[in-house]
Parts: sequence; C-alpha cells; structure tokens
Amino acid sequence: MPTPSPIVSMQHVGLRYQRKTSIFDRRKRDFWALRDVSLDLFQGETLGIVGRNGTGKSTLLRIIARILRPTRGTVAFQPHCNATLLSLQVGFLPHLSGRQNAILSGLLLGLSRREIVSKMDEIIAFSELADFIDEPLHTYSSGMRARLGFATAFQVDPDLLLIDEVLGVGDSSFAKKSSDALREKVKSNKTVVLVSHAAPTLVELCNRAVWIEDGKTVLQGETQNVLDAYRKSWKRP
Amino acid sequence: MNYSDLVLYKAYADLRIQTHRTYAGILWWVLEPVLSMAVYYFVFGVILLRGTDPKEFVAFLLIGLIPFRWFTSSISCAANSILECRSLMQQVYFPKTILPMVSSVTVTCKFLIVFGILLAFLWVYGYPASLAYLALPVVLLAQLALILALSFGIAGVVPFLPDLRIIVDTFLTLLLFGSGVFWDVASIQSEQIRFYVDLNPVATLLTAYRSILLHGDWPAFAPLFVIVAVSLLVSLLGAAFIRMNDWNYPKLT
Repeated sequence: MPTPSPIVSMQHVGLRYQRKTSIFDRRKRDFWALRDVSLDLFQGETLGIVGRNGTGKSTLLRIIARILRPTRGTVAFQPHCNATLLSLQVGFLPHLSGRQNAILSGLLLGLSRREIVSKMDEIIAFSELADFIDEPLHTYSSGMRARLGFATAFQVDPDLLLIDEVLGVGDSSFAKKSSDALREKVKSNKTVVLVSHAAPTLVELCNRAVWIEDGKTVLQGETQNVLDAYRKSWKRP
Repeated sequence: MNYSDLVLYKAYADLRIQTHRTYAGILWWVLEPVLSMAVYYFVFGVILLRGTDPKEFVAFLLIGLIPFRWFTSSISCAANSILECRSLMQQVYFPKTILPMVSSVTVTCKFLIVFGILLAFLWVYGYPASLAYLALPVVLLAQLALILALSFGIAGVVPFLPDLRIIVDTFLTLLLFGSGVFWDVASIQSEQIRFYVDLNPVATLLTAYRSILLHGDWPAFAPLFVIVAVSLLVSLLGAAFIRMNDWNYPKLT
C-alpha cells in the first residue's frame, strides 16, 4: 500500500521567541519554545499531542495554523490546505454587542462578513443567547461569553482543525453540548490536531499521538502506547 | 483573502468603544478641540496679545488645531497599533500592515466629522464657502498621505524599539510649536528660520487650510504635490518593512 503524502510535514522545527532587552541588561534572554520537532500529519486523521505544561504544545499548534513561522527547520503544507486554530472569544471587545462581537471575531477567524451574517441565526441558536445577542458584551456573564465565543468559532470549517485543550465550555449542560458538537466534527473525516491532558479523550478521538518534551518530539505512534510511555516518565524523578 | 472588511469593522468597533468610554461620548470629539482652542486663545490672544482681530483669531486657531490634532492622534495611535495587538496575533493570523491602517481609518473618521462641523461653524461665523474649497480634497489627501507614511514607519519600528514612542511624543510637541498652530508662519522675519519652517510639511498643510478657509485663496499647489509624492513613497517603504517582519512581530515577547 503506497503511503499517502502528508498534508503537513515538519522536519526538525525549532522556534525562538525574542525577549526584549535593555541597554542595562545585556543577558541573552531569547527563549526556544520548540527545539526539534518532526512529525507528519495525514489527511483525515486525528493526531493527539501530549506533554507537560510549557513544553511547546501551543507553539506547535500555532506553527501548524501558520500564525508563527519556525526559526529553523522546515514545514511543508499541502497546497490550499487551510488550517485554523479554534480560538474562542478572539478579538472580543466589552462595549460591542454580542452580534457585533460575533462579526468581528468571525472576520478575524477568516470568515467573510457575508458568511457570518448568514450564519448569525445559527450562532444565536447554538449560544442560546436569544435577545441578549444585541446587548453589550460587558453585561454578559462569563458563561454567556463562553457560549458566544464557542458558537462563533464553531462556524469556521477549515480542512485542518487545531484544538488546544478546549472541547467543552460554559456550564455543565452547555459543556456537554459544545463538547458533543466538537467531537462529532473531530470524528468526521476532518483532519484534526488535538492538544489535551485528558487521556480518555485522546484515546477516544485520536488515531495517533505525539509526545513532546522540552520542545522535542520524544515518541510518536499509536495513541495508547504513547500515553503509556508518557505516563511512565512521570514516575521517574 | 480580502482584509478590507476586517479593517473597516475593526475601525468601526474601535470608534464605538471610544464613544462609550466617557459620559459625554461623541460630544468630546467636538468639545476637546474647542477647549484647547480656548486655552490657546487665552494664552496667546489675552496674555500675549497676539492676533489683532479676536474674531479672526478664533477661526485661525480652530483651523490650525483641528487638522493638527488629526495628525498627532493618528501618529500616537499608529505608534501603539502593532504593539497593542500582541496577544491577538498569537491567536489568529492576519497581515500586520492592517493594524496601522485600522488606526488611521479610526482617527480619520473622527476628524472628518469634526472637520465638517468646523466648516459649518465657519459659514455661520462669517467665513462663507468660496471657489477655493475645490482645493480642499487635495489638501486633505496630502495630509492623509503624510499620516499614512509616518504611521506605517513608526508602527513597524515601535515593537522592536518601544523607546521610539517617547521620542515621537517629544517630536509631536516640537511640531505643535513649529507648525504655526497658534501663530502665522508668514510672520517669521528670519530668513533662516523661515527656510526650516518651509521644510515642515505640517506647516505647509496648515497654511493651505487657512488660505482656503479664511481667505478664500487657492493654496500653493506645488508643495502639496511634493508632500503627496514623498509620502506615498515612504508609505510603500514602511508597509514593505512591516510585511518583511510579518512573522517576527508575534515572536517578540
């Protein structure tokens, strides 16, 4: 069986953030968030990413989403592959109404204004905001804000969906609803990269997993194997 | 992908926020220049006895102040535009050149409303519209080009060198005194100083506004075209600099 060509292929990727320096502090402050990551992502699969906090998982997603470009190494994307990081409440501003925030957030996520307006009924229905949609955002509870953020971001339908630890948001009933909707999307034939700390979720949703430690790929392969190896590493001092 | 919708909607959102931040909201757009006019009138008209004709001096000050504020607010907003959106650019990709554009559109919309009110005031006040008004779009466009040129350049460099903002503030204060906001550049006696003031595009623009609005005379067109040409060139260079660093801005922490 011929191996299909990957839609994203990363080779020895490293990314350095530049910290601000001052003339009174000449210490080298640059910081490598990723050091050496290599992985391939194939059409239709769901790839899980595990690793401790601060090992570069979010930075990795941002590189795949083309928000950041690596400092070294190469990333090859299949042509016309649009990848979106599921960013909730992106660009939200307190003095705008829910509707205006949905438009602004949708534009930032790459939807056209017409697309957002045509999906507005769906956003209102999914977020259960009803008439509150035209109230200013600073009158919302944090749960309402989370519902609007999710309902808006959920309208974006990229070829490659990147999820950073958000499956369900809001109160318990909405958390279940949003998580179910997202799981359905993940399980469809869409290509997904999922960062999560919840082992059951990863086992349920992912075909493969990658373990990242200290900015480097340690292991990749079958989800359960990777998780087992990752868990064993905790026991060592 | 087309980013014009995003630029316009973000500008609209920023304008709405500015009006919601204060109790009097949109009224401040008009009150602020009127108040500073009163301050300058008091200092220069009453204490220093400048401006022989008090009626004309009020109109003179307003025509100087309102376009000058368009210039300074644009530069200050643009200076922060990329720096301010650091967290946003970690969440989604967009070309960073749109940020100084958003700030310019926001400030320009505000200015156009206030400028419209200024024109209405002048007609009522005794300075009716004249044929020379036909030259107003040229002056406005020249100033817009100048604003864009400086906005792109400063917005692009500030994330690397935040200190530049302090220098810019000082420079804007110097411009306030050196552009003839509250005195007439034609009254300069020294040839040498006159030479330097003539090099200041803001002084050229203010003189052009006054010749149209106060005296009903055509402005000198040649310096305006020089401003447009140089500004467009600098805008392209500034935008190219930001585009070159498009992927570096999100990596600055």
